[in-house]
Amino acid sequence: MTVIDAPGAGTAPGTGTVVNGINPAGTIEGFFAESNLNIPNQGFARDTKGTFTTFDAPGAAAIGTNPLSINAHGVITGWYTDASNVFHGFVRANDGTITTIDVPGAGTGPFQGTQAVATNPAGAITGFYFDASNVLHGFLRTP
Amino acid sequence: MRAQDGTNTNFDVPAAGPFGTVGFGINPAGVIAGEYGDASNVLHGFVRAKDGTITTFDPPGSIQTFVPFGSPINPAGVIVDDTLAQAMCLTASCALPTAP
Repeated sequence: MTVIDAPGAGTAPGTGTVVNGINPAGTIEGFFAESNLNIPNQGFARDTKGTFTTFDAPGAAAIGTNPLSINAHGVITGWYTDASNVFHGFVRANDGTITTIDVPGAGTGPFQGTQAVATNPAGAITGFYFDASNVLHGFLRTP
Repeated sequence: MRAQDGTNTNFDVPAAGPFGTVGFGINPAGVIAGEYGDASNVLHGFVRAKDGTITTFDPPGSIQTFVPFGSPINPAGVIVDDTLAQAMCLTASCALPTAP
Protein backbone atom coordinates (compact mmCIF):
# COMPACT_ATOMS: atom_id res chain seq x y z
CA MET A 1 0.00 0.00 0.00
CA THR A 2 1.21 3.48 -0.84
CA VAL A 3 0.10 6.41 1.25
CA ILE A 4 -0.54 9.48 -0.84
CA ASP A 5 -0.04 12.94 0.60
CA ALA A 6 -0.02 15.81 -1.84
CA PRO A 7 2.78 18.35 -1.37
CA GLY A 8 1.45 21.19 0.73
CA ALA A 9 -1.37 19.18 2.21
CA GLY A 10 -2.09 20.03 5.81
CA THR A 11 -1.57 17.73 8.75
CA ALA A 12 -4.14 19.26 11.08
CA PRO A 13 -7.55 17.66 11.62
CA GLY A 14 -9.84 18.37 8.70
CA THR A 15 -6.96 18.92 6.32
CA GLY A 16 -4.93 16.57 4.13
CA THR A 17 -5.32 14.64 0.91
CA VAL A 18 -8.37 13.02 -0.69
CA VAL A 19 -7.97 10.64 -3.63
CA ASN A 20 -10.96 10.45 -5.94
CA GLY A 21 -9.91 8.47 -8.99
CA ILE A 22 -7.31 6.49 -10.91
CA ASN A 23 -7.13 5.77 -14.62
CA PRO A 24 -5.80 2.70 -16.46
CA ALA A 25 -2.34 4.30 -16.72
CA GLY A 26 -2.18 4.63 -12.94
CA THR A 27 -2.52 8.40 -12.76
CA ILE A 28 -4.35 9.36 -9.59
CA GLU A 29 -6.35 12.52 -9.04
CA GLY A 30 -7.89 14.18 -6.06
CA PHE A 31 -7.64 17.29 -3.94
CA PHE A 32 -5.91 18.48 -0.82
CA ALA A 33 -6.54 21.01 1.90
CA GLU A 34 -3.68 22.99 3.34
CA SER A 35 -3.25 23.56 7.05
CA ASN A 36 -4.74 27.01 6.60
CA LEU A 37 -8.37 26.18 5.98
CA ASN A 38 -8.92 29.66 4.59
CA ILE A 39 -7.05 28.54 1.50
CA PRO A 40 -9.35 26.84 -1.03
CA ASN A 41 -8.80 23.15 -1.73
CA GLN A 42 -6.52 22.45 -4.68
CA GLY A 43 -6.66 19.65 -7.21
CA PHE A 44 -3.80 17.34 -8.08
CA ALA A 45 -2.75 14.63 -10.51
CA ARG A 46 -0.09 12.11 -9.46
CA ASP A 47 1.63 10.00 -12.09
CA THR A 48 3.00 6.52 -11.58
CA LYS A 49 6.43 7.93 -10.71
CA GLY A 50 4.88 9.79 -7.82
CA THR A 51 5.20 13.20 -9.42
CA PHE A 52 2.43 15.57 -8.39
CA THR A 53 0.93 18.31 -10.50
CA THR A 54 -1.32 20.62 -8.54
CA PHE A 55 -3.89 22.90 -10.09
CA ASP A 56 -6.69 25.32 -9.36
CA ALA A 57 -9.63 25.84 -11.64
CA PRO A 58 -9.69 29.47 -12.84
CA GLY A 59 -11.83 31.48 -10.46
CA ALA A 60 -11.81 28.82 -7.75
CA ALA A 61 -12.35 30.20 -4.27
CA ALA A 62 -14.27 29.33 -1.09
CA ILE A 63 -14.30 25.49 -1.05
CA GLY A 64 -11.97 25.39 -4.01
CA THR A 65 -11.24 22.76 -6.65
CA ASN A 66 -12.55 19.20 -6.38
CA PRO A 67 -11.54 16.80 -9.19
CA LEU A 68 -13.75 13.72 -9.23
CA SER A 69 -12.70 11.50 -12.12
CA ILE A 70 -9.96 10.88 -14.67
CA ASN A 71 -10.24 9.02 -17.95
CA ALA A 72 -7.76 6.92 -19.87
CA HIS A 73 -6.37 10.00 -21.62
CA GLY A 74 -5.68 11.83 -18.38
CA VAL A 75 -8.63 14.17 -18.77
CA ILE A 76 -9.94 15.18 -15.35
CA THR A 77 -13.42 16.37 -14.51
CA GLY A 78 -14.80 17.82 -11.33
CA TRP A 79 -16.19 20.97 -9.85
CA TYR A 80 -15.08 24.12 -8.11
CA THR A 81 -16.73 26.86 -6.17
CA ASP A 82 -16.31 30.53 -6.88
CA ALA A 83 -16.10 33.30 -4.28
CA SER A 84 -19.91 33.21 -3.92
CA ASN A 85 -19.93 29.44 -3.30
CA VAL A 86 -21.53 28.77 -6.66
CA PHE A 87 -20.58 25.39 -8.18
CA HIS A 88 -19.03 25.19 -11.62
CA GLY A 89 -18.01 22.05 -13.46
CA PHE A 90 -14.64 21.82 -15.12
CA VAL A 91 -12.69 19.61 -17.48
CA ARG A 92 -8.89 19.64 -17.42
CA ALA A 93 -7.16 18.38 -20.56
CA ASN A 94 -3.93 16.48 -20.13
CA ASP A 95 -1.99 19.56 -21.27
CA GLY A 96 -3.34 21.33 -18.20
CA THR A 97 -5.91 23.47 -19.95
CA ILE A 98 -9.00 23.88 -17.79
CA THR A 99 -12.41 24.65 -19.23
CA THR A 100 -15.38 25.64 -17.09
CA ILE A 101 -18.70 23.89 -17.62
CA ASP A 102 -21.86 25.77 -16.67
CA VAL A 103 -24.92 23.87 -17.83
CA PRO A 104 -27.77 26.02 -19.15
CA GLY A 105 -30.46 26.10 -16.49
CA ALA A 106 -28.05 25.85 -13.59
CA GLY A 107 -28.76 28.17 -10.68
CA THR A 108 -26.39 30.97 -9.84
CA GLY A 109 -27.00 31.28 -6.11
CA PRO A 110 -24.78 29.92 -3.35
CA PHE A 111 -24.47 26.11 -3.54
CA GLN A 112 -26.31 26.05 -6.83
CA GLY A 113 -24.67 25.45 -10.19
CA THR A 114 -22.96 22.62 -12.04
CA GLN A 115 -20.94 19.64 -10.88
CA ALA A 116 -19.16 17.50 -13.48
CA VAL A 117 -18.75 14.04 -12.00
CA ALA A 118 -17.40 11.58 -14.55
CA THR A 119 -15.89 11.33 -18.01
CA ASN A 120 -15.44 8.37 -20.32
CA PRO A 121 -12.57 7.65 -22.76
CA ALA A 122 -14.40 9.48 -25.53
CA GLY A 123 -14.53 12.64 -23.44
CA ALA A 124 -18.26 12.57 -22.75
CA ILE A 125 -18.99 14.04 -19.34
CA THR A 126 -21.90 13.44 -17.02
CA GLY A 127 -22.87 15.15 -13.83
CA PHE A 128 -25.65 17.20 -12.39
CA TYR A 129 -26.70 20.72 -11.61
CA PHE A 130 -28.76 22.49 -9.03
CA ASP A 131 -31.29 24.80 -10.64
CA ALA A 132 -32.46 28.10 -9.16
CA SER A 133 -34.93 26.17 -6.97
CA ASN A 134 -32.20 23.82 -5.73
CA VAL A 135 -33.64 20.89 -7.70
CA LEU A 136 -31.08 18.50 -9.17
CA HIS A 137 -30.97 17.54 -12.84
CA GLY A 138 -28.61 15.31 -14.76
CA PHE A 139 -26.62 16.35 -17.77
CA LEU A 140 -24.57 14.78 -20.51
CA ARG A 141 -21.91 16.81 -22.30
CA THR A 142 -20.57 15.32 -25.49
CA PRO A 143 -17.42 16.53 -27.22
CA MET B 1 -9.50 13.93 -26.42
CA ARG B 2 -12.67 15.91 -26.06
CA ALA B 3 -13.06 19.28 -27.65
CA GLN B 4 -12.97 22.40 -25.53
CA ASP B 5 -16.57 23.09 -26.29
CA GLY B 6 -19.31 20.55 -26.17
CA THR B 7 -22.99 19.87 -26.52
CA ASN B 8 -25.03 19.69 -23.37
CA THR B 9 -28.05 17.45 -22.96
CA ASN B 10 -29.98 17.86 -19.75
CA PHE B 11 -32.09 14.99 -18.51
CA ASP B 12 -34.39 14.07 -15.66
CA VAL B 13 -35.70 10.69 -14.61
CA PRO B 14 -39.44 11.01 -15.29
CA ALA B 15 -40.33 9.86 -11.78
CA ALA B 16 -37.95 12.29 -10.10
CA GLY B 17 -39.41 14.43 -7.36
CA PRO B 18 -38.15 17.44 -5.42
CA PHE B 19 -34.65 16.04 -4.94
CA GLY B 20 -34.13 15.53 -8.64
CA THR B 21 -31.70 13.57 -10.79
CA VAL B 22 -27.92 13.19 -10.60
CA GLY B 23 -25.60 11.50 -13.08
CA PHE B 24 -22.63 9.86 -11.37
CA GLY B 25 -20.82 7.80 -13.98
CA ILE B 26 -20.48 7.17 -17.71
CA ASN B 27 -18.93 4.18 -19.43
CA PRO B 28 -17.12 4.03 -22.80
CA ALA B 29 -20.41 3.34 -24.59
CA GLY B 30 -21.95 6.51 -23.19
CA VAL B 31 -24.28 4.76 -20.75
CA ILE B 32 -24.86 6.90 -17.68
CA ALA B 33 -25.58 5.67 -14.16
CA GLY B 34 -26.91 7.75 -11.34
CA GLU B 35 -29.66 8.16 -8.84
CA TYR B 36 -32.82 10.15 -8.35
CA GLY B 37 -35.22 10.96 -5.56
CA ASP B 38 -38.88 10.18 -6.05
CA ALA B 39 -41.81 12.29 -4.89
CA SER B 40 -41.11 11.16 -1.32
CA ASN B 41 -37.38 11.81 -1.70
CA VAL B 42 -36.64 8.09 -1.61
CA LEU B 43 -33.52 7.43 -3.67
CA HIS B 44 -33.44 4.99 -6.58
CA GLY B 45 -30.86 4.12 -9.20
CA PHE B 46 -31.11 4.66 -12.92
CA VAL B 47 -29.24 3.92 -16.10
CA ARG B 48 -29.57 6.09 -19.18
CA ALA B 49 -28.79 4.44 -22.49
CA LYS B 50 -27.01 6.36 -25.21
CA ASP B 51 -30.33 6.86 -26.99
CA GLY B 52 -31.73 8.59 -23.90
CA THR B 53 -33.82 5.71 -22.65
CA ILE B 54 -33.88 5.72 -18.85
CA THR B 55 -34.36 2.56 -16.81
CA THR B 56 -34.72 2.75 -13.05
CA PHE B 57 -33.69 0.06 -10.61
CA ASP B 58 -33.70 -0.89 -6.97
CA PRO B 59 -31.96 -3.96 -5.66
CA PRO B 60 -34.40 -6.36 -3.97
CA GLY B 61 -35.17 -5.33 -0.41
CA SER B 62 -33.76 -1.87 -0.65
CA ILE B 63 -35.45 1.15 0.81
CA GLN B 64 -32.85 3.56 -0.56
CA THR B 65 -30.48 2.98 -3.45
CA PHE B 66 -27.22 4.88 -3.61
CA VAL B 67 -25.06 4.87 -6.71
CA PRO B 68 -21.45 5.81 -6.00
CA PHE B 69 -19.70 8.81 -7.50
CA GLY B 70 -17.17 8.52 -10.27
CA SER B 71 -17.23 5.16 -11.96
CA PRO B 72 -20.21 3.09 -10.89
CA ILE B 73 -20.69 1.56 -14.33
CA ASN B 74 -18.13 -0.55 -16.16
CA PRO B 75 -17.70 -1.10 -19.91
CA ALA B 76 -20.03 -4.10 -19.76
CA GLY B 77 -22.76 -1.96 -18.25
CA VAL B 78 -22.64 -3.55 -14.80
CA ILE B 79 -23.50 -1.13 -12.03
CA VAL B 80 -22.21 -1.22 -8.50
CA ASP B 81 -24.52 0.28 -5.98
CA ASP B 82 -24.89 0.63 -2.26
CA THR B 83 -28.27 -0.30 -0.91
CA LEU B 84 -29.79 0.75 2.34
CA ALA B 85 -31.60 -2.47 3.09
CA GLN B 86 -34.60 -2.88 5.30
CA ALA B 87 -32.30 -3.85 8.15
CA MET B 88 -30.79 -0.37 7.77
CA CYS B 89 -27.41 -1.79 6.96
CA LEU B 90 -25.42 -0.66 4.00
CA THR B 91 -24.82 -3.60 1.70
CA ALA B 92 -22.65 -3.35 -1.37
CA SER B 93 -23.82 -4.68 -4.67
CA CYS B 94 -27.03 -6.38 -3.60
CA ALA B 95 -27.85 -6.77 -7.26
CA LEU B 96 -26.08 -5.96 -10.46
CA PRO B 97 -28.49 -4.63 -13.02
CA THR B 98 -27.13 -4.23 -16.48
CA ALA B 99 -27.58 -1.35 -18.81
CA PRO B 100 -30.27 -1.59 -21.46
